[in-house]
Amino acid sequence: MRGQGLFWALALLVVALFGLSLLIGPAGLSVGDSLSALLAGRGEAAVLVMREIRLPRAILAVLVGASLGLSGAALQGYMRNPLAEPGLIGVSSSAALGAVLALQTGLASAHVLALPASALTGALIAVSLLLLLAGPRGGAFTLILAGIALSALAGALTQLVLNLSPNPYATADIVFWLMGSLADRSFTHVWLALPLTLLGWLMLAGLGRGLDALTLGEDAAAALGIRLGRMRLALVLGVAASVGAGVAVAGAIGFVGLIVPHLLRPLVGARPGRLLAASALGGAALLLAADIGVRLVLPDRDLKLGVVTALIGAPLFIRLIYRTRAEAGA
Amino acid sequence: MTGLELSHLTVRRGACPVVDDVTARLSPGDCVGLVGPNGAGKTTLMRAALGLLPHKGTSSLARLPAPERARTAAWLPQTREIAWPVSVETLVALGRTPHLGPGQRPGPADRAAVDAAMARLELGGFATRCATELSGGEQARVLIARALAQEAPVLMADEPIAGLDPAHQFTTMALFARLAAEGRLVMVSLHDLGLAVRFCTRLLLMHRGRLVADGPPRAVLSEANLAEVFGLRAYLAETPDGPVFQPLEVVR
Repeated sequence: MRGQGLFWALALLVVALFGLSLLIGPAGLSVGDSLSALLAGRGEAAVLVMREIRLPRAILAVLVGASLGLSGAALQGYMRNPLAEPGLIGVSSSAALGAVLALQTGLASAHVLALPASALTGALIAVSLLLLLAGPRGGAFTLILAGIALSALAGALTQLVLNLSPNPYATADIVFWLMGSLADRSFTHVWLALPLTLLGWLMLAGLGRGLDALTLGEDAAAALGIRLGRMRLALVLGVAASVGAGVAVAGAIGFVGLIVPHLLRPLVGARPGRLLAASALGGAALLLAADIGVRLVLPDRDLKLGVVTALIGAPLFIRLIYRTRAEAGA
Repeated sequence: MTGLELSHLTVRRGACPVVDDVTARLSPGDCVGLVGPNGAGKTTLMRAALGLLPHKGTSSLARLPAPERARTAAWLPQTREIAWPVSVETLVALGRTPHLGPGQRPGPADRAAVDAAMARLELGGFATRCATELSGGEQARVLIARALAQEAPVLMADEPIAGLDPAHQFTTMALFARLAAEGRLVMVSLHDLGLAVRFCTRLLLMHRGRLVADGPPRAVLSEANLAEVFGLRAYLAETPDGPVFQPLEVVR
C-alpha cells in the first residue's frame, strides 16, 4: 500500500517537526531541561516557557497549517483548478479585515479575545455573502467569481483602514499583524481556535468521495448521486470555520494552501479524496518547519511567518509553472 | 423492468421552452437514438429526464432519490471532462460511487465490475496509464467504461461518438446496440443518421424542443420529416449490408 506509506511518512514528519518546534526558542533551554519541564514539570521558568509559550505555538502551527492544507486541497478539488486556495474565496481577506478593524478601533487592546472574535466575524460575514452571491445553483465558476469579488472588496477596505489610520503605531501594528505570525500566542488562542478548526475539518473530511466524482465534471458527478449543493455548503462552511479560526489567531498566512496540495498531488495518484488527508498533514509539517525557520534564521528580528511561507512558496510555485510548461511541451 | 417514462416534460429557459411537453415511454431492450438539429433540445431533454435540471412534468428517473437514481441510470455527458491526471483504473472505478455506502471501501464485486467494464472496452493494458495523457478516442472509451462500471439498467449518452474516428464511431454504436440487446435501456443522442438507422431500434426526433416523431428508424426518417426538420433530401434504402442512409441535398 503505497498510499498508506505516504500517510505514515507525513504523520511521522509532523511528529518530528512538532518535537523540534518544542526544543527551539530564545530561552535556550537544553533538550533535557525542555523535556523534563514539559513532561514532569521540573524547573519553574522552564515549565512556563515550555507549557505556556512553546507548546501552544507548536499546537497552533499544526492546527493552522493543517487547516490551510486541507482547505486548499478541498477547494482545488471542488473547483477542479490547481490555483484555488483559501485566499481565493475571500475568507482569509475578510477575516483579516475583521482583525484590522479590531486593531484600528482599539478593541484589540481592550480584550485579548476581541481581535480573534472580530476576525471570525469577518470570516462568517464573508461566507454568508459568498453563498448569497454565488446563488443557489451556482457551480464552481460562479463561486470563484464571487470569491474574487469578495477578496478584492475586503482587500480594498483593509487598505482604506490603513489609509485613513491617524496613528502610525496602529498602522505598524496592523501591517505586522497582516504578515501572519505564531509568536507570543498562548493557550487562550489554542482554545479559541480549536473547536471551530475541528468543526471545519469534520465538514471538509466528508467531501472525499464527492471530490473524486467531480473529476468527471459537475454533471457527471451529480448523475453519480453526489448532492453538489450540499457539498458546496459543507465546503464553504468548512473552509470558513477552519481558515477563519486560523487567521483569527495567526494572521493571514499565504501559499500553504496553494503549494501543499500541489506538491502532494503526484504522490496520491492525483486522487482529490486522498489528497485531503495528505494535504492536512503536509500543511501542518510545512507550517511547523516554517515556524522553526523563523526562529532559527533571524531569532532577534521577529521574522514573520507569513513572509517566510511566501518566500518558500513563490519559488516552489515558479518551479511548478516550469514543470507544467514542460509537460505541455511549450 | 426498468425503463424511462416521461410525461409532459417541459424545461424553460426564461420564458422560452427548450424542451416542450415531451411524453414518451422507453422500455428496456431498446437502443433509442435521440436525433434532431443543433439546439433541438436533445441534451436538455436527457438532463431533465435524469433530474439534473429543474423541469415541469414528470420523469420516472428524476423522481427517484439521488443515490437510487445513480444506481438506475448512468450518464455520459457530452463534454469529456477528466480534471486530474488519475489512472485509468481509478477513473473507471468512479462508476462504483453510487454502490458504496458512506466510508465504505470498494469490495470484490466493485473490483469485478471495474475489470469487466475495462475488458469490454478493451482497456486491459491501460489500467495504470494516466487518463489525461490518452488520446481523445481512448479517453472516450475510458469514460464509457466508467459508465458501464456503474452497472445501471439505464444508460444515457450525449453525443458519445462526436469527435471519434469512423471505426470507433462504428464500434461504439455497435457496443450500445449490444448493451441494449442484453436488456438495458440505452438512450443516445447523435447526429450521424446513418449510424442511427443501422444501430438504433427506435428513434426520437426532436425539433425546436418538441418531440415530432417517435418510432422505428425507417419510419421516423421519412422524406417529410427529413425535409421539415433537417431541411435535407436523402437516400435511404435497405441493402444486403443493412440499411444505408446518405444525405443528397439541402432543400431549404
